[in-house]
Amino acid sequence: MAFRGNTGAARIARTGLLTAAALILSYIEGLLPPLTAVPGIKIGIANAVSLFAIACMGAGEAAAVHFLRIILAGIFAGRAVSFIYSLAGGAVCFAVMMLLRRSFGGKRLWILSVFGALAHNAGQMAAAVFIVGRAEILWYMPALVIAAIIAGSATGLLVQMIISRLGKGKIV
Amino acid sequence: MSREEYRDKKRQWPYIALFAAAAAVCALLMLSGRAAPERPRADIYVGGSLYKSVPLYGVSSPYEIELPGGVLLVEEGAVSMKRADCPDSLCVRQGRITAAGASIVCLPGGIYIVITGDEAGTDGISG
Repeated sequence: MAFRGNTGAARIARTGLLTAAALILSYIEGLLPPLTAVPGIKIGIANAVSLFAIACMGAGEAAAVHFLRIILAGIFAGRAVSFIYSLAGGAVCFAVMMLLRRSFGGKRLWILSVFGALAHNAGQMAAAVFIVGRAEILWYMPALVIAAIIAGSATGLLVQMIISRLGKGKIV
Repeated sequence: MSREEYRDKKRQWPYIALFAAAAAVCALLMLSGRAAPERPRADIYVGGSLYKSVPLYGVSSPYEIELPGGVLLVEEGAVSMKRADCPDSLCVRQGRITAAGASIVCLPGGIYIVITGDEAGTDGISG
């Protein structure tokens, strides 16, 4: 696959390609009706691209793909408050996944994905408590934890399948 | 299957167990803490400070409250967001809440509504 290469141009192309893919996924997900009545519960399918980048690429490229998507999706959606939640969740999620990525690879990538999803919801919840100013909204946490485990496993298993289909070690 | 793959496969089980246990605890938490209150009230917070507290008993006819960012419908024993200014209107889709501790959060509007039980009523039952 012509996806390898470590020149500056190859990296820029790769980052741009993955960011575009993530933006499309996040846009399509945004068109779907909310899954549940509880706010903040969604599949987060665009995070599959971030997970792929974290699993297969260097830290800098992974950070670029992850944060560029969050920032651009925030600009396209044009909602400042939602953007704060996305960025808070995204930053915590990225930090946790980068810390744990050496421990959970291959057939265990879905575990990394679940930890990322849990971290994402924790970061979002922290921002929500700060903005709404009420600790009681932490009662949403149990629902968010269950959702993170389901959504995280799903996106994680998806990325595992993609990586094994593309061929291990031949991707980047 | 290579030895590494086999080892990886086995090493998933602790995490499967961990996530299943966490989900079970969360499900229990969601089911509990919903004890029916006596004489409930709805506390409405906007931007973190108490905006209004309305009784949910003796409501003979439903009425609406204009909030910055939405409209709240108050009925006997229940509240619901009738309209919200945010695009996704998740709080409207949530519908009516009735139980003590149940809450509606409208993140874009910074609105937080929680149903609280009347202390005296609870004492009347437990005492």
